[in-house]
Amino acid sequence: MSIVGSYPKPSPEEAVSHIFHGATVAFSGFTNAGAAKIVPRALAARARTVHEKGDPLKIRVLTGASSGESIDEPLAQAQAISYRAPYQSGPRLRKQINSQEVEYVDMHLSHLPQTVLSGFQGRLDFAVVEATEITSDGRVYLTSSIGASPTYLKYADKVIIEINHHHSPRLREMTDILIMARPPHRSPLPLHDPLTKVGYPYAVVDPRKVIAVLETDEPDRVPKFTAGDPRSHKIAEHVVRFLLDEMLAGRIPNEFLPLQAGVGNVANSVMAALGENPYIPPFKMYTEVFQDSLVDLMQNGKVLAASTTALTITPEVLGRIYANMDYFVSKIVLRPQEISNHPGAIRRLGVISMNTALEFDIYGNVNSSHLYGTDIMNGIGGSAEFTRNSYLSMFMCPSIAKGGRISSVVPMCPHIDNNEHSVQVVVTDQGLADLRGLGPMQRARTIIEKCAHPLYKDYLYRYIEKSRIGHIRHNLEDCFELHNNLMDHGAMLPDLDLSGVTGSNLHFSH
Amino acid sequence: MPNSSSCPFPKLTPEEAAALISNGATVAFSGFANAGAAKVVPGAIAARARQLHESGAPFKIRVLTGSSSGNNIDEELAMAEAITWRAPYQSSPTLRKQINRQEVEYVDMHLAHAPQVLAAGFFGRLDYGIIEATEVTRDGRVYLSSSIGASPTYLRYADRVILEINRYHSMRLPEIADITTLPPPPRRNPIPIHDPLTKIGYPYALVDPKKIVGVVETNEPDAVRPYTGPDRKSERIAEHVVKFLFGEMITGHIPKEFLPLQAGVGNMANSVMAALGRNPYIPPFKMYTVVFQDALVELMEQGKLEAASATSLTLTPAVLRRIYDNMDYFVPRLVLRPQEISNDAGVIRRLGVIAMNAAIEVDIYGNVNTSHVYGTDIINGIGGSGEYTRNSYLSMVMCPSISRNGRISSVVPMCPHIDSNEHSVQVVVTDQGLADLRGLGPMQRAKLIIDQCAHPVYRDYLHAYVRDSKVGHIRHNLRKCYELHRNLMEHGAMLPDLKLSEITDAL
Repeated sequence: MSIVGSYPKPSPEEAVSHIFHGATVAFSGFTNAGAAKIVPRALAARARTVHEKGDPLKIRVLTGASSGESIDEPLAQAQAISYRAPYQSGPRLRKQINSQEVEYVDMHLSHLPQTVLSGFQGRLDFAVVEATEITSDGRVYLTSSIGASPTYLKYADKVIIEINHHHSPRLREMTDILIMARPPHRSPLPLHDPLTKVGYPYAVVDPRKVIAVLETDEPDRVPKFTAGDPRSHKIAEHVVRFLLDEMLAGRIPNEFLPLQAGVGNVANSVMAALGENPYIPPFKMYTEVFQDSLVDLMQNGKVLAASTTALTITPEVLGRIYANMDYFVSKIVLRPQEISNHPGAIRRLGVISMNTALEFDIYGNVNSSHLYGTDIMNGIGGSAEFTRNSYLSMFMCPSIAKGGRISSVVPMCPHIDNNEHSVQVVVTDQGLADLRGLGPMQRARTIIEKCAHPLYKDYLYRYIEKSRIGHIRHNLEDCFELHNNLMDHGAMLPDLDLSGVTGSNLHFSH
Repeated sequence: MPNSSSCPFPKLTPEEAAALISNGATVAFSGFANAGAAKVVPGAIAARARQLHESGAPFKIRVLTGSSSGNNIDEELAMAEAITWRAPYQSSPTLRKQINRQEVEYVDMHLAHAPQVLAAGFFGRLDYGIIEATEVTRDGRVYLSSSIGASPTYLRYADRVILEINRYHSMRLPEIADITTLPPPPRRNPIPIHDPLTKIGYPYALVDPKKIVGVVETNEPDAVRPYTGPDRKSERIAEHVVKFLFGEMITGHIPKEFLPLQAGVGNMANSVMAALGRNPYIPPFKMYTVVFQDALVELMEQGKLEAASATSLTLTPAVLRRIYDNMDYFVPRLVLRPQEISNDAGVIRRLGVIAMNAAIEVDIYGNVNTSHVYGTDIINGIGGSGEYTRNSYLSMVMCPSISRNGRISSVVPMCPHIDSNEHSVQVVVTDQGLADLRGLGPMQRAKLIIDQCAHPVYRDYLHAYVRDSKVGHIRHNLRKCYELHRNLMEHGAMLPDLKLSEITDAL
């Protein structure tokens, strides 16, 4: 029984007819994992019909994190979103945000539930949450992500549950749900290890708020990442060698420390390389997204345990987990994003964080979100909560993009998501710069020498030489020359001879 | 209780202690915001440096402290040109100049991070710890004085230790000290703090007695200077903050019992705290903060401030005396912790701290510069502002809307250095007004910050900047974003053509 109790079971069309223009709707979904699937589709269709009649229908959308294919894309295509938080990754929605048709609040992910419960986000009209089961007393067993769903279920005025039969009902065995109390009378979060459980296997909703329970059977629309390119492999090599050296020097214990890795090709390459290296001991992860590459590592015993808020796994690989739950349930814990990304837990466990940057500057400030300081790519996501609170914070990106027309190492970042005070190590395919204990000028020399592509080194050194002397050297006239050139001429240094540049990646492409 | 005559360790003069320090050594001093700083050995090291320099010999050291330690340490050593490298914070005029001329390498760090980074070995070897205390026992218990800072970590990891036993301080300070050093990860327990007053450790720090090379005796007050009186802009800022927090309480965003407060150092913070104290509708409250300042003593005496956790008692001598003379009253209301705990991300988050910190400037999207003028020249450093802003329940940043009679606007199109970014900053306040940025996208934020916080003479410029910029999620023009800063460098004013005589409420 997936639905226990006498909940209304309308058609999807009837269910979405409750959702009115201007409503704030919170969907389940952290990445595409566990995202609501039926309601966004039906709501997009309804928006189109309403728009054709000349009536308005736009809603304010909250989720756990991105939810591209399942939520953002259909609703954005129907022009049904007026406001979006805390993260997104759909190409269509991105365009609407960058043309200022949609207001987007790019937030730290663990902060979101707290701002909802404290009322900072205003009233929450609807929650739409995917589950494997709901009981008559309002226990909701969530699916492949937890995200912010427990908070949404608690604070929404009305709730629609999507029961998705595709997911394993045994997911609850790896689920650990706790909603933090309001401050100031909170107890310490008793988490000592990535596998510690502190809560319950279900979220709770007041049954009287449930206006519809819908049923479906469809997989999460998690896209495959493309295979790692040569630059990602080089980055991975540098990271593995560095971590190994840190372990030999005693700065990382021999049992290793829990790892966090961002989403994407670079992170996948790094995880694969760590997994292959015989000198890196089996390790644990305290991370926000559990990806395909980690499943293999867990099956061969290299990843001992993982805490995450989402199983962002392609359907075929997720099928492997579901078919082998006896093995996986004891090794994975799914938590709310408030806990998976909790600053106190990250600090306590001594997490090593590894995130991807769009670009970083010669002093170690990182842009993870806005091209030219204006155009959003995805968002800051969990990168800052991990970077700021980790034991060792690393940022990675290819040294160049678009055949060398773009350098990822720049004089100054036009948007700063993580600053020089929090970023300790930066890595490109060229090499790794360990910035710990270095003042700004030492950092600049190390970053240019180790991380910048040789084609851009002279320019970056000259930038420093020409700049005003201070604790940090900058020239506020020229600091964005590379970005301005890129906008005007399609290349950061239009006179460079790029014929010798090999390898490619789509790092900066939309 | 052992007195100085039964001190189990060799007594040294400051000069004898200074003679032990060699060129190139890494030396960690006690001291956090001038409180509990080592007082006589730094001066003797400076004198030694001068002598050696005169004879043509090199002498420079790498200096760590808890945070700033102005006159006692940084100023004396910098005047003797005896510092090569400095972390994690400073606030001395001479040292600042040397850093900005690139004669001294300075690592501007999050303060809670410094002990962990040192313990993990990222700073290399720590040659000496020079720590002020009220007492040391034969078995190596060190009772610290008016700040804890990073001293427990320095005592543990330094190769050799020199203690300055300062009889000026109250021998009852251990009653408010609560010291734990965190073990290395990954097997750490939660820090069991539920309330600003929870104690979880010991009243003393520990040192291996074999490492103590000597004890220097002193009797000197902390060199804490009074802040200048509150100015009109600070009082206006305070009014906006009080009205806002009261409104948040009425709407239920802040519980009726209030939430623990953190306040930065300086005039604005003092004005805000005084205004909160005066307001009859704000209930008595607690603080979980970094620095316990003069303004708070009176509030505690009146009962408006019920309890405070801090890492330093940065109090002028007369006010500190009031505490020392009335320890029966203050001991149950104060806890002094290591900076790793006072600024711990997890505890700040758990307690739901309301953070109030000062900025040099804010940009129209809510990014904050707290450390570097023009993106190049350090003022002091990021200090604890990043850890509180990032992890608090409600983060507020305050600055006057203009300075230098209007030649500088504190609201700018883009900050040339960003210490706390738009993702973490929730509320911006100037004397003009308050901008509540929670839940707003960039363009709404920009409009609100310009209309509420910018000085009226700069609003047209800022609105025009937004209007004329490249459209995106955020609007910017990378050619013009620093026009105000460049004007200031070249012409001494951000908008040289402004009629500043129209500005009436200038400082």
